[in-house]
Amino acid sequence: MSFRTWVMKWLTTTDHKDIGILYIVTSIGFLLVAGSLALLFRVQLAFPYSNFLVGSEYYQAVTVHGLVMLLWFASPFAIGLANYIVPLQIGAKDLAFPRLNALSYWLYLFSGILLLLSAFTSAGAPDVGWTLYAPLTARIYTPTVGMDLAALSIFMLSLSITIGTINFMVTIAAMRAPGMGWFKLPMFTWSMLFTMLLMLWAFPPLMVGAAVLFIDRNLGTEFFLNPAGGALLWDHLFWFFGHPEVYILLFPALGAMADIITTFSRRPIYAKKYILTAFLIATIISFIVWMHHMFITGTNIYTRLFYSITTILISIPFEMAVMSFIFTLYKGRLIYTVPMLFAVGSLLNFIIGGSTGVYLGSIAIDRGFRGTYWVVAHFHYILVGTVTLGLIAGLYYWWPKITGRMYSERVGKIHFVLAMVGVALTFLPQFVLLDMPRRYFTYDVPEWLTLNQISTVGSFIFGVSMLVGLANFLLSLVKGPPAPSNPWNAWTLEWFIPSPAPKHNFHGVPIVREDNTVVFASEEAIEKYGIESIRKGEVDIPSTPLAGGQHGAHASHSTHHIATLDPLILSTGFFLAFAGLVLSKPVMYLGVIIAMAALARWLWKDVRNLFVEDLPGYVENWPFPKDKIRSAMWVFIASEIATFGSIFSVYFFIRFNPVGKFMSDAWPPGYLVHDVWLGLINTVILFTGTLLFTLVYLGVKNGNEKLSLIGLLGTLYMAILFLVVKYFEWGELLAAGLGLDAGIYMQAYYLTTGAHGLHVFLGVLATTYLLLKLFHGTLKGKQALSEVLAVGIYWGIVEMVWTLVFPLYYLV
Amino acid sequence: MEKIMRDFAKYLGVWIVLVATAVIEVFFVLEGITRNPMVFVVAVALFQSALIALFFQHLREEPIVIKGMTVSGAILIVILIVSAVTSVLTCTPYFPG
Ligand code: HEM
Ligand SMILES: [Cu+2]
Repeated sequence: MSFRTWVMKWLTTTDHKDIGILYIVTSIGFLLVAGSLALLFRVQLAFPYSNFLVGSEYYQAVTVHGLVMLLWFASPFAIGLANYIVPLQIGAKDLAFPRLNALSYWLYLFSGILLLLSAFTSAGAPDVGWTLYAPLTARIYTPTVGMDLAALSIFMLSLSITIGTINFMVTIAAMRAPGMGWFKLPMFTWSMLFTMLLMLWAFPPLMVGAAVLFIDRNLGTEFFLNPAGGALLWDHLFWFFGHPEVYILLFPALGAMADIITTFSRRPIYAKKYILTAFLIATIISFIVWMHHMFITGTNIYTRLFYSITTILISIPFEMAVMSFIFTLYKGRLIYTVPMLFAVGSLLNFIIGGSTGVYLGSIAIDRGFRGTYWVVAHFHYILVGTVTLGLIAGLYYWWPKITGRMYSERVGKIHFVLAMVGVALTFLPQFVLLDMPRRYFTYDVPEWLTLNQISTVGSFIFGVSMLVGLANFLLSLVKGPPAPSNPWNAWTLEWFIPSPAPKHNFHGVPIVREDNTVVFASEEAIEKYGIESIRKGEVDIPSTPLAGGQHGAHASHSTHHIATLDPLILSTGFFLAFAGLVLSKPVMYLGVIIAMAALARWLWKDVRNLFVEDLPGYVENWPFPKDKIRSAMWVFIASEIATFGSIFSVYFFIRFNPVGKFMSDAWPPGYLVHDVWLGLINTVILFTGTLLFTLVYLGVKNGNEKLSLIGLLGTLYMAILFLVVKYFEWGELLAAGLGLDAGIYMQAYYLTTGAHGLHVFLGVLATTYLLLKLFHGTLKGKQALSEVLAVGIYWGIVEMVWTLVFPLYYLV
Repeated sequence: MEKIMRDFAKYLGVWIVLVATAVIEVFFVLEGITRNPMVFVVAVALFQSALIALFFQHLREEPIVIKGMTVSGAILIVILIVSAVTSVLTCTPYFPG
């Protein structure tokens, strides 16, 4: 392969395995950046009154370290492993939407670059802490463009995450190999499913928060400054994301640990169904504990009590998981390979990290510990000791599958010992430093000196351990012995195929039989005997040989393994648009043009039906419909609910805040401000648009093109009319002096109707796409019907949101 | 064609109810008939949303769990809103007086 084709391969790939590798490599890059920053501030803290890294520079290092580690290293690293492994574990040929998968990756990469770009602006990166607490982030306190870039980078990352979430959810739920029932899924896949559920609802509030922050800073609104919104509003949005985020980080590591412990103790995980139930409960409870991060914000005692109880409750499912892992180990025949060592090490660290968190769940104890190194030690024991080491265990475990080569066990063990010692030396002393405040760049208490120095030494040992690990991996790539298909004698499906996984993953269709064995059936065999009898083991079909042959049975016409630059170009457009928005307007316009061109190019291919998005008839798809596109739309709707829910919670928060009554710009009843009748007319227009869309559905379903045409044109007309009316409405309000400076209620109005209007606009795009398909003669058949239904569901949510927006803003 | 008309008539019926409720809602609030307008309009919106959910015939074909997923998202958000509201209402340092 020439260098050029090699580069093009990585730029255009949509193969889940390649994208997994891209994610892993990129996230390790971010790890190195954020890790180096940590070493810098550990040097600063090694001596009192040190001048190495002080003031804003220290805070910039801490802020970027936190943001990058959580959002651009730990989660993406897990997503990378999942990209490679999950489709293999469930017997799928790829993720549900390979091109969107590539888009997720490129958006992720560019969002990270956007954040790091801030370090090169004149005032540097944001220096406000990773929690971006208001009002410190407001323009008057932090005027730097770096802060704007950070807000946009978080917004862009949220887009990437949302797309990825939809992709994974549909894949895991609706693309499992025949016979791969829910309870046969390996723990890693399960844990990724919970991760995705958490991401689906946790990221929208963050996305809304980042967007509002940007608007506050650039359009003069004051959601996070106004006494009726302010710091507490930001706290709610941020921690509603922030707490689930910690489980988003934790679950993948626990899943990898569970698979590894299973393999190397040679027995199934203890009480798997109970553990899964526990994880599900934890997933749900994790959305109602966030205010334990706000115990001292002055919320009322009963609210605090509630959150204290839920916080302590949520530790129970994880205690169950720990017990299950321990029982598995206790009853097993243990084999201490490197991945196993890392998994057991993370388990030990998890016990320390988890139990120290329970103290923080107590309102009384937290009053003392808040803002001290105890908290830092608590979450680092989990994030470094458990999450990072657990994921590294996963990387070692799946390394042979991903690269086709073995690594050195001896070097791996050195890596392990150094890492464990590093974590302990760095973070155990910080528990003892429980009265030293965090986020201070120096100190003058003599008793803290030694402990800080031990911690700094520990951090360097940990850094060295990571370099040892990297060296091990690089050496393995160069001269590691070839890996057999199943070096660990593991039982899950990814080990049934050669290492590295061949292009189309499985030769034939993997079928999990009732006795838990797997056969690889050809399409003909499936035709001939039927899935059921193969699954029951009634027919003894020859399993297709594992090695050799190039493609899988139904790979030809699908979106799998197409090479395309569209995702890369689209993300580049986004990147330039966002960076330009802050730094240079011409660049922004260039970015917008590129993004639009890329989107058009992308959709034009779909207008011509170049790819078939279809599920083979035999997949396990419960509880989804046997329809990828519609399933994806449902998942998207779930995330939309969270997005608009966050926006409405901003409304209710501000409106019900008693402080508001005492403000000069107290919230007046809507009918005094807005033109109720115009609003009502627009409501009817939107209702009518959606009504007309049903004609498209009926037209495509019954093969009546004329009807579809009328429906599409009618919907478009109404939707555009809605936007035009909105435009004039805004114009009139502005002319009447009711702009963004008229008070928080006008700002909330523009925010909400703006977000809704944007959704109408996207609906216009989607409808135009269908219209183009009609003109092109491709708006017929099963796939077209799925697309029409998906767009229909979308119009439904746009309409539902409006049924709330209209009365809340125009009437009451 | 006749079947299509019949299907469309169903949608049209939903549309008429939607428009009618919107008009009634406006009338009730402007005339001051509702005792608690906020609760009233939220209830109307819920009713309308439920109708829209029925608007698309295919909704009935989807497995229940899928519908459940979107509903559970909504529940989470209700939790967020309720806590936001209760916490500001009871928040000591911000509470004047
Ligand atoms: C047994 C389960 C856990 C409990 C009871 C718990 C409890 C808490 C509490 C009450 C706080 C707030 C402390 C304060 O700021 O004063 C906190 C902070 C934190 N926890 Fe945990 N936690 C648990 C598990 C985890 C896990 C699994 C992670 C990460 C994967 C994590 C990451 C964090 C982080 C990042 C913070 C600090 C956020 C900040 O202020 O910057 N925790 N934890
Ligand atoms: Cu938390």
